[in-house]
Amino acid sequence: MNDISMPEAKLEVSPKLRSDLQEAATWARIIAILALSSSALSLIVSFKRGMIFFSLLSAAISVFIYLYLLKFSSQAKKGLQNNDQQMLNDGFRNLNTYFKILGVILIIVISICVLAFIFLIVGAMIKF
Amino acid sequence: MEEESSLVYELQVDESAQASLRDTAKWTRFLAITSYVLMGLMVFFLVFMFMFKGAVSEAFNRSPELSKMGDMGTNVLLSIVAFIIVIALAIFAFITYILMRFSTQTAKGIDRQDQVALETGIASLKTYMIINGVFAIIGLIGGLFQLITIL
Repeated sequence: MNDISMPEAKLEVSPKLRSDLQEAATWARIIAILALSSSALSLIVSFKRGMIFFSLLSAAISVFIYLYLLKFSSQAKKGLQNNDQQMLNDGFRNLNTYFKILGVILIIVISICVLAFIFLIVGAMIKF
Repeated sequence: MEEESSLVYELQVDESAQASLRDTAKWTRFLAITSYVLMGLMVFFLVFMFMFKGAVSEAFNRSPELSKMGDMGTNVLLSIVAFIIVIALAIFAFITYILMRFSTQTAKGIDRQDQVALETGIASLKTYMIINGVFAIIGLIGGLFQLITIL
């Protein structure tokens, strides 16, 4: 049963999927380049204003995140243009890594917020 | 049939790609759900702000600059803040909805080997990237303005 239904149910890069993926990759490149430029700008601003440490940290995180988005963009595009399955798969893997890093950063931020909230409450309780 | 289709579509969403996409769908679902929770907190903050409007205007009155505006001024300021929050919420909700649709449709497409659902998922990814791209453009323009004011 499974053997018969599998070939028919195979997922393919249809023309619609191809064009959507191509456009997603194009915009992913735009996002990555603009976001990297923005963090470079904020780095310059922070050199003038101080708070260099936080700017350096956020710039480093941005480079780390958007490099994967840039990789997804170039690999997905190349994969689609040259009909290179391996390249396309690498692109999807980098897209996965990009969202994974975003998720992990979100977990870290939430944890810090929760910890800060707990410390605030404990601090207030000790005061009274 | 299989040969025919692979002639038309040379690329497949093969097992490796499916594994990546399924994992991506899992993480984007987490991001989307967290965003919904954050939106809930924002709504809570909005309601809270209006419930304790008296206390907020009192706090405003204590500050020397804001107290000059009087009650009318605080009301206008509160309305502007509320308006900005509502607009931000609407945009945030739309982006989150698109991300959630990418997650659910892609996962459905892979689990049920449903080509149409997968296509809807990738189309949502495209929309998500376009919206974020527009915001990246706005962000860069904001950054440029900041730089101009500093130089």
